[in-house]
Amino acid sequence: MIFVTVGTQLPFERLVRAVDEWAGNNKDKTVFIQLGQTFFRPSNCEFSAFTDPAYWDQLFHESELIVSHAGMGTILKSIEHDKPLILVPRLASLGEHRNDHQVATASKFGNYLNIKVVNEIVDLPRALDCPPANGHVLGQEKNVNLEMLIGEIKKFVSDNS
Amino acid sequence: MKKKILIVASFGGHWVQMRRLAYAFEELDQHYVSTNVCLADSVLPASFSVVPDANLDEKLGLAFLALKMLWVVIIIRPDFVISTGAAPGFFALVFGKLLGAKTIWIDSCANIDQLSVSGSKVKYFADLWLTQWEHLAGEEGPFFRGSVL
Repeated sequence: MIFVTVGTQLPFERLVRAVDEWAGNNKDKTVFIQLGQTFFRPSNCEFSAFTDPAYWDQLFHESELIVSHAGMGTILKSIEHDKPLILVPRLASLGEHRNDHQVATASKFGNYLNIKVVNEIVDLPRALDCPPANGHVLGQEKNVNLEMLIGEIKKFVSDNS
Repeated sequence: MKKKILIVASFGGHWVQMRRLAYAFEELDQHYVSTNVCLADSVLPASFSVVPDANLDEKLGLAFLALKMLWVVIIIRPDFVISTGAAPGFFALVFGKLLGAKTIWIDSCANIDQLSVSGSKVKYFADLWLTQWEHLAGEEGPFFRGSVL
């Protein structure tokens, strides 16, 4: 299964339409879309406007590929679980967000082996045909950062206790 | 007696980041606060409060959030308050600080180009004021001390 998730706050018509069109040409694939505020209703995919956290987790774990707006929750979860992820940043110029911070966010994670960034929607079908593989993304350097932050919090707590 | 920590993060990315830090709180009495009640079971046996979400464009929503957060802080009386954002965490640090807690702000790693609005405004209420990006750190803070990535 492919799980498409666009968050809860804003519609993402461009992504949902493109995925639905691709799904129409790839009937052997099962696609589930969490639509959020998106107005368009897919005809080739299963969908739901909202998914509670437990169901969202279930969909995430059962899917072999995640397609998402560049939201931090999905990115972190995909890195943590080494799940293949296609990121499509929302663009302010198309009214998809207030600013272009998702473009900046996506660009910071494009070097992860399990993440592929799609900035032009015409490139999405190709990315879906050839999705990213999983990679050993939580390398040593990344763990050092997390350990450092946890250590800092613990030190602060003990210094102030 | 164990020291109490109030752990505040909005639903979504802020929450995921905070959960990655859970190991840092293991010796403390933990009370979580977020914006989606469905998360309560996931932090058991720690206690959990839900607060409304609001952003800076919603004055009434913000006022309601602030009142609710003040109430939570008064009831819990934490020794420490920590947040990754967003607006609920800002209010938690403000009220926590005013009521004598030591406070920690870890700006979300989603804020790559600049600090979040809440993260900038919280400066005077954060005893430990952190960004997760080295290039956003400054001599007077926010400081870089690692990240959840």
